Amino acid sequence: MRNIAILGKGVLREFLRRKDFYLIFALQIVMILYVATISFGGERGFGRYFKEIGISLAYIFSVIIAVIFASRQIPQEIESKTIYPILAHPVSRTEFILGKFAGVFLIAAMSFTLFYATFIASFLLRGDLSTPPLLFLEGYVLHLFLLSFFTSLTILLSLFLSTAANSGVSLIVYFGTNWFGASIPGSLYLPHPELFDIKEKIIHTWDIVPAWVVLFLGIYAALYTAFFLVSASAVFKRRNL
Amino acid sequence: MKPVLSISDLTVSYGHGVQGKRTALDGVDLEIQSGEIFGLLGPNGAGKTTLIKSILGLIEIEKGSISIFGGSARARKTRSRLGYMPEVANYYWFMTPRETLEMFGMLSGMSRASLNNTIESTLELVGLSHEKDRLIRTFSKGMQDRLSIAQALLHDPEFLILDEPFSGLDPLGRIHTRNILKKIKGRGKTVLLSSHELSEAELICDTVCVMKSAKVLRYGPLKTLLEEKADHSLETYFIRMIGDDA
Repeated sequence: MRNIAILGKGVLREFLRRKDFYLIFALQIVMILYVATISFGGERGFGRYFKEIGISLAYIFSVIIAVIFASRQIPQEIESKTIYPILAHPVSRTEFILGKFAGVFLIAAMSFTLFYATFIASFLLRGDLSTPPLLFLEGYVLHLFLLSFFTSLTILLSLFLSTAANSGVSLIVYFGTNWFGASIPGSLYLPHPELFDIKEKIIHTWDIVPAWVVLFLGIYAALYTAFFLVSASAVFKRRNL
Repeated sequence: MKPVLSISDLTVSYGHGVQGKRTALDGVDLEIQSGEIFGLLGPNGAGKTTLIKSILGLIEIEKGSISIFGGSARARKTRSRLGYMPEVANYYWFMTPRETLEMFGMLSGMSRASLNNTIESTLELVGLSHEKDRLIRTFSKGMQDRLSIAQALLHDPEFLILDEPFSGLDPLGRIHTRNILKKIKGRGKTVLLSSHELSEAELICDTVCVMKSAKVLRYGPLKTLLEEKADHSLETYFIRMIGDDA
C-alpha cells in the first residue's frame, strides 16, 4: 500500500508541475463565462443550455485529463528509463501499475471536482435552484466511476499501443459508447461506460437515480476497473524491460 | 562464506518468431564475494547490461539461476539490500533531488524520520547539497549521474550494482566517482560495476570478468589474471582476451 501511495504521489506531483491542467481549467472558465453571456431561448431554455454546456465541459475535460495522463505513464517511464531504478527497489510490477492508476485517478478526480464545482457555482450564482442537490451529487459520483473505468482501461491499453494511438482509441471508446453504446449489435456483452452518464437527467431535472442503481453501477465500475488492472498487471509482469 | 551473488548456467534470449531468437547470455556462471569490487568488462553487445538486468529481475531468464545473499533475486527482502545505478541516469524532471531521494528512500522502506538526515549526508557525499531544491530538468548529465549514485547509496545497501558509472564523466567527475567507490568499499560493501573504462576498472576493481558475445571468457582476481599472461595492464590483457577469442 505504501509503495502504491508513493508512486501515486509522484504522478500527482508531475500533474501539478505541468501546465496542462491549468490551461484546461482556464479554458473551462473562459467557456463557462462565454456561455453565460449568450442569451438562448428565454430563461428556461437558457438554464438547460447552460447546464448542458457546463456539465459536458466538466465531464469531457476530466476524461481527457485521465486519458492523456494514463496513456503516457508507463510508455514514458520505459522510454526515458526512469522505471529501472524504481523496479530495482522492492517494488513489484503490480504495485507499479496500481500506483500509476491511483495517481492518475486522483488527478482526474481532483480536476473533475474543480470543474464540476465551478460549473455548479456558476449555475447557482445565476439564482437557479431548481435542480435537487442530490441529482448533482449522483452525477458527480457516477462520473467518478467512469473516470476509474477509463483510467484503468487506458493503462491496460498503454501496454500495447503508443501514447497517441492509446489516447485516440480511449477517447473514441468514450465518445462512441456515449453516443452509440446502446445501439451497437451485441452490445450486451460489451462494457457500457455510458451508463455512468446522467447528464440528461440533470439537464432536464428528472427524478434522482435510485440508490440501488448507483450501488449497482459502483460494483459494475469496480469489476471492470479490477479486470483491466489485473490484466495490465499480468501483461506487465511478463514484459522484458 | 556464502557469495553475495551466485549465477549458474544463466541463459537469456531475446526475440522469437520471424525476428529470430538472439542469445544475449549463454550459460553464464559467476560468483561475487562479499566486500569486493567486481568489474564486468566487455565490448558493446557482450551482454553486460543484460546480465545486470537479469540480476535485477527486469528481464525473464530462459535457463539457469541467480541467487543473491543466498536467496531469490526477485524477493522483496533481497532487493531492499541492493542499490542500483542505471547506465542512463534519467530521473523525474519535475522533482528536485531532495524529493527524488525521498521517494527512493521510502520505496526502500526507510522511515521519514531517518530519511531527512540521510538525504542531507548522501547529497553531501555526491556534491549536490547546494542543488537539493532545484528541479532536475535544469541538471547537466554529470549532475544527474551524481544523483543516480545518491539514489543507489541512500538506503545503505550491502550490494551495489553500477552500470557504466564512469561513462560520460569528465576527469573530475571520474575522480569523484572513484573516491566514492573507494569509500563504499571501505565500509565493507560489495560492488558490481560494468565499464568500458579499463583504466578506471584497473584502479578500483579487485576482480574482473571479461565477457564477449554473450559468454564469460574469463574471470578472477585482477592481479592473478594479469600475472597469468604477464600483462602490464588491464588494457593489454583485455585486448589479448578479446583478440584470442575472435
